[in-house]
Amino acid sequence: MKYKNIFRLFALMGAAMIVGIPLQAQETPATSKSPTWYMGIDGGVPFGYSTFRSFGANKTRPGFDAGVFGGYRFSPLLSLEVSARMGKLGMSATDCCILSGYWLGQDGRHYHVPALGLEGWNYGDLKSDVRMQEYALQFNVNLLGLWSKTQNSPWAVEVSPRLGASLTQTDIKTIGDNALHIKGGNRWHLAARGRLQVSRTIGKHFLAGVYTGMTFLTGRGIDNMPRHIHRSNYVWDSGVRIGYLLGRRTKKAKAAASTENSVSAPIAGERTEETTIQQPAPVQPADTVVIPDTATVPDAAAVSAITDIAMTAEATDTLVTFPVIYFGFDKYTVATTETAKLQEILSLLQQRSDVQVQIHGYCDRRGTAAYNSPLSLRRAESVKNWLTEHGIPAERISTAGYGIDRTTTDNRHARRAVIIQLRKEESK
Amino acid sequence: MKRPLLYTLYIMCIAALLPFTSCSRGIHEQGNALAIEIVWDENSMSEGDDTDTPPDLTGITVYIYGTDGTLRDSIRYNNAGEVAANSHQVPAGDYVIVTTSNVEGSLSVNDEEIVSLEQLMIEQGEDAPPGQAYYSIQWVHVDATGVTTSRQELRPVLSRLQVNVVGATEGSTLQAEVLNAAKCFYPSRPNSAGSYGIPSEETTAYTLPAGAFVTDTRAETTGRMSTDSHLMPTATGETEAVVRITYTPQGGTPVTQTYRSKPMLSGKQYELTLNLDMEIVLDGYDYGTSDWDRVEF
Repeated sequence: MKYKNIFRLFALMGAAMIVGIPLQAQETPATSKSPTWYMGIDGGVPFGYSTFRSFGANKTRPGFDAGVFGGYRFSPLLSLEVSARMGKLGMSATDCCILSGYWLGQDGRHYHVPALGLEGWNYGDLKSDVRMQEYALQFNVNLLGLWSKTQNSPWAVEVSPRLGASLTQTDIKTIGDNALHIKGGNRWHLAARGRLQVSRTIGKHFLAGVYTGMTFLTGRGIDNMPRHIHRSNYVWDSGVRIGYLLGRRTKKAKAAASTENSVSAPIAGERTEETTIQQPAPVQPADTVVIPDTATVPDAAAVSAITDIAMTAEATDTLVTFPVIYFGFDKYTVATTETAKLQEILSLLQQRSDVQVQIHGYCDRRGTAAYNSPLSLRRAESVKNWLTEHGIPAERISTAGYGIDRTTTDNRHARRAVIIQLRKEESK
Repeated sequence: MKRPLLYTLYIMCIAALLPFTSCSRGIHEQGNALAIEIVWDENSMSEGDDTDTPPDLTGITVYIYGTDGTLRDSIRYNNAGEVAANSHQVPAGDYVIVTTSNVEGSLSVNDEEIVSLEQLMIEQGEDAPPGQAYYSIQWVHVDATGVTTSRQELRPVLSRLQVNVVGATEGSTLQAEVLNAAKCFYPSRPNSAGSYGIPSEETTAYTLPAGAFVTDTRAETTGRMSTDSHLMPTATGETEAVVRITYTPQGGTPVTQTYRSKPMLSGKQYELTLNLDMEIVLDGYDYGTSDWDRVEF
C-alpha cells in the first residue's frame, strides 16, 4: 500500500511537470482560439471513497450530481472557471471491514466488536446516504494547446486542478429496512480536485465534453463513519458537460486581435512542414541591425508605426504592401507553406525596382531575450537570402532583429518577418 | 498575466497532490489483532440469578496467557465500551484469555505480581460487602493476519445469601455467618461441570452485615429483620453450606441456630427465613433448590 501511494504521488508530480514545463520553454504556443467567456451545465455519476464506499461489499451505490459552471478562456491553453454543483451518493462497507467484524455504536464510535450494553450495528448492515454541495474554482490546462498543430483544434483535452468548499450531510441507515439511525449534520470540507476532461467546440458557440476526476476532501469522512484504518476521503465522478461560448472578448484581446490583423496576412492552413531546429549562428552583415531585446522590444508606438506603414501602403501610391512571413516555433528557415508569399514579395520588388525595404524579424514570448534577439534577426536574414538568391540586389534590403514581440499574446503571429518599405529619406 | 496564472496552476496542482498522501490505506491485511467481545453467559444468568438486570461493568481486566500458563499481557479497562473499541497486537499462536470484571470493594485479584494461569484467583477480604463480580475464560487461536475475536462469556463469581427473621421486634439484633465459604475463587481451573471457575478448597467464615429492622405491614408490633450479602460460594469439597444465625430479641436471650443446605454455588441467590410467629419454625430455601435443614448448635 505504501508503494502504491508513492507511485501515485510521483505520477501526479509527473503530470504537474508535464503541464508546467512547456509553459516555461522557449516560446509560448500560438493560439487561434480567442479569449472568451463561457458557461454551461454538467452532471455525472459520483462514487464515494471513505471508510464506506460506493463500491460496497453487497452492492454498488452510484450517485448523481449536477451543476453549473462559468469561466473565462484566456487562451487555447488556459481557462479559469467557477462552478456550483450538488448531488447524492450512497456508500456502504467493504469486505475488509465486514470481515474484521467492525461495529458502529449508537454513540457514533467504532468498535472492533459489539459493546455490551450499547446499541449498535455491524458495519455490514449499514449504509451512508450522502447529500453533497460543492463550490469550486477550477483551472483548465488544455494539453492540445501545447502544440501548434493542435492548438486550433476544436477538441480540447484539459487537465483541471480545482479547489473549493464542499458541504456534506450524511445519514446512516440500516440496509435492510432503511431505518435512520444516525442523522448527519452539515459538515464542511476543503475540496481539492484533479479532473481530466475532453471537450469539443461545436459551431461557434457550443461545446460538449466528458470528464472524470477525483475530489479529495479534508475533515471527517463524508460517510459520517468514525475514522479507523481507512483514511481515504474522496469522490470519483465522471459525467458530461455542455457549454455555451459567449464570444465576448476583453478590450485587450480585441486590441491584440486588431493589431495582428492589420499587420498580417491570413494564415493559410496549418504549417505541417517543419524543418529541423537549428541554432541561429552569429550573423553580422553590414546592413543588418540587431536590436537588444530589452531596449528594442517594439513598444506599442514602434509597432504602431510599423503597422501604419503597412496599413497606409495602399492609400499612398509610393508605398507597397508586402505579405508577412510566419515561422514555426524556434525556426528561422522559411517553411514551404510560405513560399507563395515570398514569390509575391519577389514579384512586388521586381515591379518596383525603386523601392528599398527593411525586413524586421520577431519572436514570440517564450525564451530569453538573449536567445530570441539573434533568432529574430536570423528570420529576417532568411527572407533576405531567399530574395537575393532570386535576383533582388542585396543593397535594396536591410534587416533588423527586434527580438520578442511583447505587443501581442498571439504567439503564432508573433513569430514573423515583416517587410517594410523605406521612405526615400530613410533609404538614403 | 501569465506568471500569476502559472503560479496558481502550480499551487492548485500541489494542493491536489496532498490528499494522495493519506489515501486509502488498506492496512486490514497487515498484521493481526485480537479483539475481546464481552457477553453474558446465558446459562449462568438464567432463573435464580443474582441479578435481575445486567449491571454496568466496571474495572474490567483482560489477561492474555500463553497456553503454557505464562502471562503475556494484562490490560485494564474502565468499561465494556473500551474493551470493544480496542484490539491487541499479539503474535500468531494459541492463547488463553481470562477476563475479570467488577472485582471491587472487598474483592481483589492477585495480579499485583505476575502469576501463572493456575494461580490467578479472586479473593474476598473483610471490607464492605461487595457487589457481584464476573469472570470468563476462553482458549483462542490468533491467526497471523486478520482479526481474531475472543468471545468472553461473563459468569458471576459470588453467591448471594439473604437471611430474614420474621416477627422480630424493633431493637432486636440479627447476626448471620457462613461457616464454610471458599477462601478464594480460581477462574481458570476446571470445575466438575466441565467448565472453568472453581471455589477454593480452603474455607473461611464469612459474616454477613448486621441485620436491619424492617416494619412488617402484616403485624402492628413486630416486623422483620433482614441481612444479605454477596459472598464466596461454598468451598470445593464441602457437601453442604453451613449458616449460623444468632437472633437476640430486645432485652432477651440470644438464640443461636445453625442451618445446612446444599452448597451455595456461584451466581445463585439463597434465602433463609426464620419465622418467630410460627414458634421458631425455620423456613429456608434457595431459589429452585432445597429447603434449609436446621441443626441444633
